[in-house]
Amino acid sequence: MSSTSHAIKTLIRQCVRGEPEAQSLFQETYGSLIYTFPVRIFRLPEEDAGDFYLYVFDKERIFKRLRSFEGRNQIQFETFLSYYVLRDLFLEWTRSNTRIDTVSIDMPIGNSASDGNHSRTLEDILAAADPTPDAVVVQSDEEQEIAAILAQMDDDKRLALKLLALGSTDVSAAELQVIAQVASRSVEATLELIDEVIATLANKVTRAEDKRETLYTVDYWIRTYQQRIAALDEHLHHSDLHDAVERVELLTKEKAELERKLAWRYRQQKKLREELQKAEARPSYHDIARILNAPLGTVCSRIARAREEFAQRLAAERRAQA
Amino acid sequence: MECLDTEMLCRYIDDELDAAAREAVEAVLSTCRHCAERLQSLREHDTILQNALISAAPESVSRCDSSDPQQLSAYASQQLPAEEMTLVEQHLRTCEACLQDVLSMRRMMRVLHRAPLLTPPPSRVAQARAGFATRPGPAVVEQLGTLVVQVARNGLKFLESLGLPDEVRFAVGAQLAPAGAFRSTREDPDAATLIDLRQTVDELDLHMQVLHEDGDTVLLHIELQKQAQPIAKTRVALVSGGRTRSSSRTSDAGEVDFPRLPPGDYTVRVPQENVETQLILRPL
Repeated sequence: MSSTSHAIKTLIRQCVRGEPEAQSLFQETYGSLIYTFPVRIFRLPEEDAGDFYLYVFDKERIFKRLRSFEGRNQIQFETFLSYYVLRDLFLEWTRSNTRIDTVSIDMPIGNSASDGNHSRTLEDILAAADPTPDAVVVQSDEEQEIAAILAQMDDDKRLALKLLALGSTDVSAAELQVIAQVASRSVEATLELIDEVIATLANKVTRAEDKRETLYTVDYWIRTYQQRIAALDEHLHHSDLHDAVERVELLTKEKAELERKLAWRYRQQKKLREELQKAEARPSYHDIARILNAPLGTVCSRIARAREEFAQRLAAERRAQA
Repeated sequence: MECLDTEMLCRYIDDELDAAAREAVEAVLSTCRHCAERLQSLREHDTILQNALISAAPESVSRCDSSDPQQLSAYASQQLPAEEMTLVEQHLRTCEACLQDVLSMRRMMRVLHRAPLLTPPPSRVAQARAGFATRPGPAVVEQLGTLVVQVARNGLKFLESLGLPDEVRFAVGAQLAPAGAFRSTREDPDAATLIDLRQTVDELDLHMQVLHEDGDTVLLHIELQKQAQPIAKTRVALVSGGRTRSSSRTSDAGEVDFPRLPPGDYTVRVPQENVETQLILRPL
């Protein structure tokens, strides 16, 4: 066990035991991370971030959630703290502050006053009114048709086309697994390489980095809503028939509201991706060749063949429909 | 002049040509209607494709029952030792849920650290700190205690409990009693096929049944309840030798099984409830 790891575990143990000095030291060490978390990850105004900061320390919530941590070092602890502890506490806090996740449409999406100087709001990104869930969550016929065509293509060709869009979309977990496999690389090395290419693209286009970060924020909201809806579904599914009708109604209403918000976030996500796409930040063939661990010439011809095949399949599909 | 092939047109669209090659392509496009139409068609299909990729259906939220947050966060932070790295890599190659967590963690940390962290207002710092000195200690027991069971070919015997805090009520069999009032089955002439162990603290009830299997292994059956209600879908981890040996979520009835456990030292951990207990399966 490293001395850093031992020090963190000891500190956490002391905090869990309720030792004020240790808790103050923890606050000094990780207070900035805790305060910054909702501002950068969920784009919360700093004023509200202060409330979240207090909520985290109040009733020793954060220390209770850290009891099981038996980590390795500072870096891992920060990742664990952010992703598993602060995220959960944030969700818990938003549930008790229903105004938080609805007010976000008016708040600056770039950064708050001391975190930058952008003044765009979410409303700028999404001018239209909240859509109904069906309007956005369900893919259009054409989108479904194209998804089906892509699914029929070989992994090599499909991935080449997907990687060309890396400037505006992210690879999914499933795609990452296939890329690692075809490139004969570890998942870790594949991730590193893709991150590097994305960072290069972001540098090419002004504000692309901002947009991508906002996109990540929207992704977190989407995952949050999805998880909450799944939990509500489970509750409703297992609701005892003898449960109070009011309770079931309440859960159903809450679920509908979350679905509405989720739909809004999907639309926001699409809009952001469109903006990134317009910025025309595409990875070079050279980068795609590196990611796929294939020769440049192979990638050039693969992209050409993939586009030809896509066009042929689309034409055939349209003829069949006609 | 020869017509341009698809590869050349694609490289033109994707800005992959040097100035001279680009000029040459444009010269052909200005005179060959067929090539110009193909370029137009490729561009149209590219737009359709890009739009479709942007609108791709979101990934579903899946869950992995053997997910280990500490291990995944160490992996995402590139802090895993080589031998564990290989195991996690193997898991991530097939588990989308865990890989999705890793992706999210990496993106989250990148966004968090893209600029220096913000400083909380001094008033909030002081407000939070004021609470530290005045609050009572945590109400939940951290370690429930250590239970020792002897495992032999002909059955099981409960040997002893160690370090049970006063607030834990404990039972071998059905009757709950304050710690210390337990009954050892050490002197019983016959080995049992099942040892029933219960630890209760506050409103949490951790019920462990150790069942003798064929040979020297046991099945550990765990039931979790809070306020007499099952705690469903909660992760229970079985740690041995500092590593998570197994991790599963409880059923709707709050139950989870860990079969084929050989003698050894185990920690049963319920992270959500911040409790853990030690179980020592001692060979005869």
